[in-house]
Amino acid sequence: MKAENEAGKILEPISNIDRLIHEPSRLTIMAHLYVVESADFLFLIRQTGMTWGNLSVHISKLEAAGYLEVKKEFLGKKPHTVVSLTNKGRSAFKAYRKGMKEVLDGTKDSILE
Amino acid sequence: MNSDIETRKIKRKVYMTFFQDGLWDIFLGLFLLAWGLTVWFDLPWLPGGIFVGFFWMVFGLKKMITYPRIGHANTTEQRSRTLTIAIAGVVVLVAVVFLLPVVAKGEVQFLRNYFEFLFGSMIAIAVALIGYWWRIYRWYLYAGMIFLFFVFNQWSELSFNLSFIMSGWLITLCGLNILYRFLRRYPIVPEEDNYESRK
Repeated sequence: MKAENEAGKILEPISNIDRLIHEPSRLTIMAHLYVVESADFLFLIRQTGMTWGNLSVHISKLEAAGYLEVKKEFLGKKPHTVVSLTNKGRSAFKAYRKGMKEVLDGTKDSILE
Repeated sequence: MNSDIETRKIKRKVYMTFFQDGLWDIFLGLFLLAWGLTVWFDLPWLPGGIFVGFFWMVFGLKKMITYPRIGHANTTEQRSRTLTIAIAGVVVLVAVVFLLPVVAKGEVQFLRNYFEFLFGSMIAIAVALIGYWWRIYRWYLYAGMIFLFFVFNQWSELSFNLSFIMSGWLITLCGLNILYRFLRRYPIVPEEDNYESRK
């Protein structure tokens, strides 16, 4: 019983992890946008290795959650989409990093013990 | 095990993508070539003209060549470092403009005796500093090469301008090679693959 409680305590931070960000593709997008002010679609494609369609789907999900701002413009006759993290997205990513660190550090300590 | 998501590494990766095209290497090579031609043909306006003209041309070429291939991201770090380089370049040019008349008059004998060596060292240090600020470590090699050319020049019978021309030419070739590999690695995305244009 005591062991179960301890395991529960260690794994408690997992329940606070943002599942929307936790998906690997979306995590990659968020991490890349976190280190820049804004980036266009092509830049994200090159950096993440995703396809146009795949990237678009994930960006739509993150935009719907209010984590991203998507601006559509035209460069000459070509459409150009610029994506940036909103303040909410930036805070959510920071919280995600902190949460994951807590989870992994807790797991590491328990394994070493 | 590192339990943190290393944004520093991602930041560096993102930052380095803008130096994959070799355009700044070509800029440096042409700038040195311009110095060589200045000494050769006595065209004092050429380095300043090349610096200002090519500095803006690099940005234009980036829009034409680089961004359609790898996209574009705005980073505060890149902007501030580019500004630093522009200011450093202007300071070096102004310093050289003031240094040359002093050397020409021969008021300081030491400067006159070791002019090639000192001038080359100054350029090599400037190139190494740019490499450090921009974190493009191949520029350390360029700095070393420039320094060696000028050391050789100081104690040999070779003409002063050859150090500039040789090092400038080699750096331009390196830059062109980097640009060639960049163009092969990142072709322009065909219109039909462009998801945005299908929307």
